[in-house]
Amino acid sequence: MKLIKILMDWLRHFASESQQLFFFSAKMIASLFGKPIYVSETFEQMYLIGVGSLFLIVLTGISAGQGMALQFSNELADFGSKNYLGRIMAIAIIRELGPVLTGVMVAARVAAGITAEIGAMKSSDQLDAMVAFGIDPIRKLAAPRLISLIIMVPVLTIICDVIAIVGGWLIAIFISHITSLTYWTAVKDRLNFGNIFIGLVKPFVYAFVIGFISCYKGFSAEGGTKGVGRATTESVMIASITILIANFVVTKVVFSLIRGYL
Amino acid sequence: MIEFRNVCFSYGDKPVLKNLSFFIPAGEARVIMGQSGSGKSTILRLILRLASPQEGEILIDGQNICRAKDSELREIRKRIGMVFQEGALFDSLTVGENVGYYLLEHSRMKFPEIADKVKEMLGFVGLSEDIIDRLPDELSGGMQRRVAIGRALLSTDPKIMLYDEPTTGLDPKMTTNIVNLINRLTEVKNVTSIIVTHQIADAFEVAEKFIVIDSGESIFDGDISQLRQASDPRIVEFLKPFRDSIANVQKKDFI
Repeated sequence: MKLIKILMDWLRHFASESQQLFFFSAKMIASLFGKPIYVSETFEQMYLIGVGSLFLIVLTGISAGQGMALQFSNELADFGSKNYLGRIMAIAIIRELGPVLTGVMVAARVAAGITAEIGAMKSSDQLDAMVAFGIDPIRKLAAPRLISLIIMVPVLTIICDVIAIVGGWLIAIFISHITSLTYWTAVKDRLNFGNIFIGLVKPFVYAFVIGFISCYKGFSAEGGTKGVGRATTESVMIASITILIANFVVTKVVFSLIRGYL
Repeated sequence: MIEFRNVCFSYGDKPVLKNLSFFIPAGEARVIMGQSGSGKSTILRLILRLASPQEGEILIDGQNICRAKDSELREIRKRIGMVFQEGALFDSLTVGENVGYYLLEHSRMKFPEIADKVKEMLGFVGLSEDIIDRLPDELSGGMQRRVAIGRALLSTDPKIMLYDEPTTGLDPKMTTNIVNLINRLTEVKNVTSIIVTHQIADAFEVAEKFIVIDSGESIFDGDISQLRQASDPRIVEFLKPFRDSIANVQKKDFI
């Protein structure tokens, strides 16, 4: 009985949180339209999110690309198909690994920052002060962050893709002894509309996921510094898990829509 | 003027205010006293409609703000200045940007004009221009509170000022400065002031009339002589540690 009660409480809490997240997300979407538009805040956030995450993304891309190339080249060698390394790298990185790794890394770094910043502002009454001065905090704080994520997550994903494929190329020529021409021809072969489309739809979706969850958690943080800490942890955890779930859903949906172009 | 009519408010299942009613005429200062957690700060949040009551009416200059639309609320808030507990200064902005925040956001004034107004306001609240480029964290608690008052005044030229624990945590000298500033604003600018505090000694310095809240209920609404005669055991209990302060007010009245 106690277990059922715990389960019911958890389900009720989950439903309530989901409902509130939905309404908050709708408000965020609405805040993207109309005036005022906070241009300088948006550029500042684009810099913080984009340039601030660049080193992390480059490091992630090169490590993942080289690791994958090593694994694949060993397996492909068994079948005498090492020349296909570029094809597999292009598909795996552009369709899957680039977007997911970028999404999770940005979620870890940026979602934590957004939730902590907005949560701290809430706990010190700064959000109420904004409302008292006739300023909509969602338009002022959440909208610039969402716009910045929508622009910068796809850009970072492209950078991650390129770096990872270059990392694979380094393994191809120095360890697997595949010629550059063979590798890049194979990569180019898989750079078709379908793969690029799926690789760009995903980061766009992840940007919304990170923006909605991190801002919602910041705005709903309660309980002082401890509450802000808890909200920040939850924000990163929920955003990362949602990205992984969204990855499967988007893959399935886009596959069914553009199967002929893949 | 501000009027509460049978206002009930709760956070979730926890009742905070129960059938609260009071009336504050324009240009008058009123102190709301009560123990921590009695619902004092909630009253200020309700006046600004940062929260909405479940029952009852709140009237600002005769207008029921509980039914006001967003556009109407913006106009009402322009008449209200709020000094939050701990100041609630924007910690990523400088003192100058904090004080001039409303003008920077809402007016078409040029930056040098705003800077002049900010300097003028800093002088009014007794602060030096030298701190204009400092961050709030670099100021003392009293200075932060005065910057917050300056921000509230410069933002909207308010007819109503709300102070949430304006002297809590300050040393006696800073407390005197803030008390003097509140009195000067009430007298010179003729603003209606509500001061929420549990610092009883300061309460007697800034207003002649008081409301005492206990567990979300108003248990007293009157002046110092009525407060002296109050026989409600909850009021007696609440004022017991402050007998000396009340006695001093008696002496002052007598002189």
